Amino acid sequence: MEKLLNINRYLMYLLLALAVSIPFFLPSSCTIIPTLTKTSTQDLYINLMQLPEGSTVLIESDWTVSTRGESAGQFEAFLKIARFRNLKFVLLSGGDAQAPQVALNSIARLNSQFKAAGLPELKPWDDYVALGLFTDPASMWQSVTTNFRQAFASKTAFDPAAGQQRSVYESPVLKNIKTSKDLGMVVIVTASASLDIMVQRMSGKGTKIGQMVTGVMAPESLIYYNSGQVAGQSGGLRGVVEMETMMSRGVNYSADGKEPFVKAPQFSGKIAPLPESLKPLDRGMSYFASLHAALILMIAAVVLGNVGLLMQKKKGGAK
Amino acid sequence: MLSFFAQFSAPGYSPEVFRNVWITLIVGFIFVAALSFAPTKLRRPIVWVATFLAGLYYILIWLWPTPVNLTDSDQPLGGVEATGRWLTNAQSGVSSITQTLTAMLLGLGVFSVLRLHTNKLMKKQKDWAFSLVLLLSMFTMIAVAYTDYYQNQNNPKLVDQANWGFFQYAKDFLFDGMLQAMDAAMFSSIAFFILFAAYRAFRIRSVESTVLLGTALIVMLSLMGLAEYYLSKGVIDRITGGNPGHFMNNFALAEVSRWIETNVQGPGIMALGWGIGIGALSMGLRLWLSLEKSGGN
Amino acid sequence: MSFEFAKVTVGVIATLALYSVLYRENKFYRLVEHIYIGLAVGFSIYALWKETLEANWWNVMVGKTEVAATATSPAQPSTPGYYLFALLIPVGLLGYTVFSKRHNWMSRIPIGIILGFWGGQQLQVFWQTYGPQLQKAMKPILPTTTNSVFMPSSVALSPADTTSMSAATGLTPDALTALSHNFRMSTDGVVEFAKQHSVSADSVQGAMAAMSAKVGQEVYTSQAVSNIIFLITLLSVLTYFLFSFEQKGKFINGFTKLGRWLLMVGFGAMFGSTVMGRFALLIDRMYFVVVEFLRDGLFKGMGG
Repeated sequence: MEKLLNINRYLMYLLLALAVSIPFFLPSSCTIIPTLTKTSTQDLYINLMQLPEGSTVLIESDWTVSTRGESAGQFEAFLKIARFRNLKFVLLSGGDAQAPQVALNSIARLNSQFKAAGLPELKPWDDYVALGLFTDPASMWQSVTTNFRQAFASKTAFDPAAGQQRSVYESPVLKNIKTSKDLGMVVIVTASASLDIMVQRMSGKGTKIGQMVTGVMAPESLIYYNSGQVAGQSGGLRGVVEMETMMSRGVNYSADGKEPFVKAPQFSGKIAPLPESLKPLDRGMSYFASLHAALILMIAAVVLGNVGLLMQKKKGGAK
Repeated sequence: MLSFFAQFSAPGYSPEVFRNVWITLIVGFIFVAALSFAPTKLRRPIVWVATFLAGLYYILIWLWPTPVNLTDSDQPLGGVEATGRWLTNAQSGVSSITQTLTAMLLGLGVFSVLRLHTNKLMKKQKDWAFSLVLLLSMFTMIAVAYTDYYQNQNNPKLVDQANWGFFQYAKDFLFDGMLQAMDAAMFSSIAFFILFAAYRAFRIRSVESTVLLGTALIVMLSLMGLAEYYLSKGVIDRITGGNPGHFMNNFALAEVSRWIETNVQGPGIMALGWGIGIGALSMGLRLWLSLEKSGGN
Repeated sequence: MSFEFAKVTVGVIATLALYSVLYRENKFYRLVEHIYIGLAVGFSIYALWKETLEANWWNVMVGKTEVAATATSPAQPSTPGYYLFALLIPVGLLGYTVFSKRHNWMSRIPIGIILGFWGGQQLQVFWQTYGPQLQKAMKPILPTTTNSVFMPSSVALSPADTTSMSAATGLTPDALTALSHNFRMSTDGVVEFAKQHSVSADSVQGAMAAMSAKVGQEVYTSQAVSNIIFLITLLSVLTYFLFSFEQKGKFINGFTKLGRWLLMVGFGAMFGSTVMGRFALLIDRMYFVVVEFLRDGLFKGMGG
């Protein structure tokens, strides 16, 4: 009983490291885990997949490698959808000086994946423009809603065809966007309170918002979804897995006439899965078995601690 | 651009603009020098005026009627429309000002680190060698990153890794290979502490802790896709015979955790948020109107 | 050794050094910790210029010259330089007087400007954030029907409903009546039903959605109870945090106690989600060490 209450901390650290590492060596057939999808994640995915081809999405990327376990999967899920749907996007950051570079590295990683699969790469200027960091995101979002054509007036990007820097408003990404209402959607991938800053200024202004947040932020940011301020949410690693599940299995879709794996009663249409070349099951699913192992260990540790306490109480040793 | 600033403009990159920049700078520094002699009783009003005018802009842009569908070629009708247009056009200029000032103030933190470690190094205080390492790393990163940026500006082909030179590899090594790996390692180590802390402290000692523990366990189970799937699809489907209209579907783990999320967790956090919101609003008004007692003395 | 593998190797060494603090604080950890801070600060200085100051301040202040048209690109007009932006240097530098004992009051000018901008936005932000939430929190707490406690799988169709649904879906009134007895069916059930009534599965799905929407217009007892719990949670937690008056009396005390318990439910859920978040970061790091470095790097001989 005493032992139950006094397990060595180093042993627990070791157990945790082993618990998350061992599943990496399991065959992939064991690590593809059937997962139910939440309505909030379904709505995010459906909204993104329903955007007309060629739409421009404004994406705020406020994550660094410190939250790669969650945010990279979310950002890359968006990039895959953008590639599949031919969406154009404006990339900016409002929270961390390292975030713009991390996002560009992530695009480079996916581009090499696309290239290997024989797919067209996401090209700067034609498919996306990177606007960098805004140290005061509040005033930037305020500009986006009040005067979109002036909000990024000082920003330029390199046009490879012209061989020179040009105003981002001349790029194929932004040339047809006159006001923020012309944007297909605004998406934020964040590990910080930059979400609040954006939602507080963009919600209710006629542009749909999608949020991809970390597990720590998911419960509080779900309020925005429940009150209709944002159109959908993907929360944490589980959110990534749900996005990947929909990318690989479709929504309300069944190839063989059987029960669709992902059923979205709020959506009357059908969405087919993404092609295998886009690797729909990627980062999220690779980590999901490890998350199971870690959570089981956590539950076991809490139960063990409490069983020890109860036994001690029974013996009359506890105060 | 801000129409007010248009009165103070010159052709881009011309000798005239640089001359005027210098003159403005000199005037600005003279003004700052004069300000430093301001009598004590004037200091608070000076800060108050600066703060109030800054806040007033956002109050006005929210409350002032904005002309609907007024194009650049249209003439505003009367002062209300003209002011509305001025406020709207001013937004990007205001944004540039706040971005710049915020960036300069963020530099304060950097300056503070630099000052602390330079002092430590100069005075050869305890662990000064670590300060030396810190400063070396900092200056190496600055030198490498700026050189890479400068080279990229002059040779856009460097975006492609096939054309990289020493500084591109060096920047990638320092940023992606070292800084990002360290950043990730630093944050991920918290997981070990959470596990051990939960084991040692997450105990059923009161009603509150029991409720907290119970909910946490349900949520952790529901986050495990496999557990949720089989406790929802497997067990419940066996009971209901796969009938989606069966009453027992309400007790699937997925449904229970969603119910908690929507009806208990959601309003609880919402209530907390409202409290924080009212606090932020009152703090915002106090700051804008300089009602904070400690301001400007 | 390839460049990529060298990068991963250094990353792994740094990771292990930072993890060594789990055992105890040591020199190796402190060395890497200081390198980390140095690199982070250095990168911030670079990023502040490259990402923000250059575009938002320098380019605005000095403008741009005209670029002539080429065979591949149109001419780029010049942009004027708004030289008054140079004033931001002395104003920004006022922030640094915080280190001076005599002039530190001046640091409050740029900070005051930023706080003023922030403060001025709060009225707008408050309504924008909490207005829709307040609206959504107004939920019906009385059931509008007592036909069923839970949302039923059957619905009573009026002749008008039958006519309109029949016109919209192509199902006969008899088929609609049969469907109205259980309109929540599995896909197999839908296919079977469609076959029996010689209609397409899509039209059956359409009729089911219409019936579901009709049922969804009512507030059933179970939904009303959930809504009451929602409101009780909201109000009791709000009451728990009301410090403007003394919380006296049995009812208020009991209500705030309930608020504390219900808040614990929220915190429990937040704890579960936070644990997932923190574990995800560790999993990613272990993936980096075990898969990217060991399995795909060292053992595959990539480093050779």
